[in-house]
Amino acid sequence: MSQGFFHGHVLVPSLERVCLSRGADVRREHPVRVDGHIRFVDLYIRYRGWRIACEVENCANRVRHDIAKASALQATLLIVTPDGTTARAIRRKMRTLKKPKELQIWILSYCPALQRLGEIMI
Amino acid sequence: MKSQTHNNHSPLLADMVYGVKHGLFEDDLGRSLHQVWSLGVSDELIDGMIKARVRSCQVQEAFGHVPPFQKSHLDNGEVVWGKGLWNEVIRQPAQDLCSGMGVFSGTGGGKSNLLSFIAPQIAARGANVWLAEMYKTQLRQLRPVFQRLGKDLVVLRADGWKYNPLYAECRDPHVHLLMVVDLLDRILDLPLRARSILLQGCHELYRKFGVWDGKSKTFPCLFDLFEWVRSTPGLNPQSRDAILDRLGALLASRAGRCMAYRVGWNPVDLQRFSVIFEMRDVSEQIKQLLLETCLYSIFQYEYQRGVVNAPLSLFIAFEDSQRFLSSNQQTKGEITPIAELAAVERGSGKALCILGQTTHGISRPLMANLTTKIMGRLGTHEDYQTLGADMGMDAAQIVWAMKNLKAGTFIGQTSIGNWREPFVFRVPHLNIPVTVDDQAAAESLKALDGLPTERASEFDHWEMRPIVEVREVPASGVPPLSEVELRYLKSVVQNPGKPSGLYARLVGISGKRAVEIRTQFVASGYLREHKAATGKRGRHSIFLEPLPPALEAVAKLNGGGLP
Repeated sequence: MSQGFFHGHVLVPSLERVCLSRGADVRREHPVRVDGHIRFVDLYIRYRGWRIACEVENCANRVRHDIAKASALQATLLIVTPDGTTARAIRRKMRTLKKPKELQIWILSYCPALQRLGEIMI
Repeated sequence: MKSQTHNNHSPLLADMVYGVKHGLFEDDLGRSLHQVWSLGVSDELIDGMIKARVRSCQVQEAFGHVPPFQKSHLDNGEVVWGKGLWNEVIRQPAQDLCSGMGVFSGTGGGKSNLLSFIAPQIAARGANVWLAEMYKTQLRQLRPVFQRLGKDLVVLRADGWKYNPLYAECRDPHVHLLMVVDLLDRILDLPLRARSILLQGCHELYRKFGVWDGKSKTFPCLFDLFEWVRSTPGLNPQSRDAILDRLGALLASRAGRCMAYRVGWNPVDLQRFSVIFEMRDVSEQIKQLLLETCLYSIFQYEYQRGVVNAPLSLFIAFEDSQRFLSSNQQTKGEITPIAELAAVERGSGKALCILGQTTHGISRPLMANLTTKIMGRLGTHEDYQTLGADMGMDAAQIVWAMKNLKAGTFIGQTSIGNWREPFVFRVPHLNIPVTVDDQAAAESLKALDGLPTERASEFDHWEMRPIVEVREVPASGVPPLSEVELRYLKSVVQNPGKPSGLYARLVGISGKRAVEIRTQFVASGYLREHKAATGKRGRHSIFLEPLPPALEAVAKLNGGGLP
């Protein structure tokens, strides 16, 4: 729950604003039960048929938990990073992890993430 | 009667003139011959005796055995210079020394010996002596000599002073202030506007201490002046920095600490003592500041109390003062302080004596005011020619000086009195035993304990802070930030997490200036940068996060409330 300034005050709010402006249902810090424990997703976005669990990550340490949370919600996992370097690091990490086959994962830096959301929410 | 007689005997007249000039008729027979010739008596016997004396001397002179100088006529006065070529004792009235004296001789030429020879004579007459040694500690050995004369000789090292150049007791503070500021301006070589700032600061400090009202017993010191310049906003930055750099370096030195006194030794009181100022181990600036303000204060005091043509009361000598005098040379075309002092000293009963290795670097106005000039063994042709010409020596005398002057032998010339020919004299070598060590020198300072002083104890741990240190994060108090920086900080606190370009627009400054401010704040811990790729290409955007020091600074700016 404790978030850094850049994470909680810059990246997440800006993504939230974009989604809200397109008419999506957006919930911040959405709770989800994973293996009997309550976890929270940074942004849970629902727009028409889409369910997107959006996580903002500055490093690749918590990617395992992100997969679990998105699987529990049966939602597409969107991992947003500040820059391309972090995105590449997370992709590398992701290749080493086991993940459900049906889980769709987007790992994008900030600008492509906004673009992707814009494409979905026309 | 002489002319009538001698017109007919011109060869004999020339012989008589030569003989009189060379002192050949000083004995009983010589005086008789001179008298007989003067009465017009001239026969073969008399002529032969006169010619025999003259020819003998001329032959010796032709072989270089007789110096081309006249016998000295200086046989009256309290100060003995030494013995002349004919073993006559050369004397001069002590009062004549008030017109200035310069001794120029190469190293090992006997200058210090000459000074050690005449200083006790002047002290014995009742006057005090101030001897400033720039490098050596030789003259302190005169202390036992002075004690035998019944006088105390204080040995004062540069770091032992208790002095405040701004202390103007017994003197008009307006005149004193102008003098001190003028000296500081020259010594620190400040830019033009800095002088005005110094004057302004001193005026303000004198007002603050009540000096103008005449009620104050304490005075501001140079440390107060430094702090005033440092803490006063709105001063010309270049001049302010120049003052802080140069005055700060002066005060930060070991000898500079001796000026942290509200009430320092009054030079007027100090002239009641005979003192040796040992100025080694300190910079030329400190030497000038201490000695010149001290001398100026005395002269100012004497003239303000209306002293004119006073008898000799203080003999001031600068030993090994070549650099001290040369460093006074100004590029601004002004007369040097020492030359100015030499010009005004006579009437106040103070005798100024400078001792140097060469005339090179000594200003002409100073030379003009050294009425008594003494030449020892010099090292360059230029010195012999220049000083010889100033002393009225002819070519033969200069050549003789170049080839015959030894250690302890000098050529003197004085422009006071009727007889102004150069003369040769020898100073006896003094074997003064070495008995005064550092401990004895320190004990001699007890004589000055009775002088009133008051230390400015708040400057005991004073340190000169570099100006760049104001960028550090202050532990408390309002941060020393400029108005633009505060506006920038305020806008970041009010709109956190925005791209950095936004703040430049909000504050209304250029991007370049915004980058400078941002970098400064990041380095000093006010802000933190975060980068994010907000575009497909190009550089990442920088988002700014305000940190607690920034929140605190803006809260205080808003009067303690929230930003």
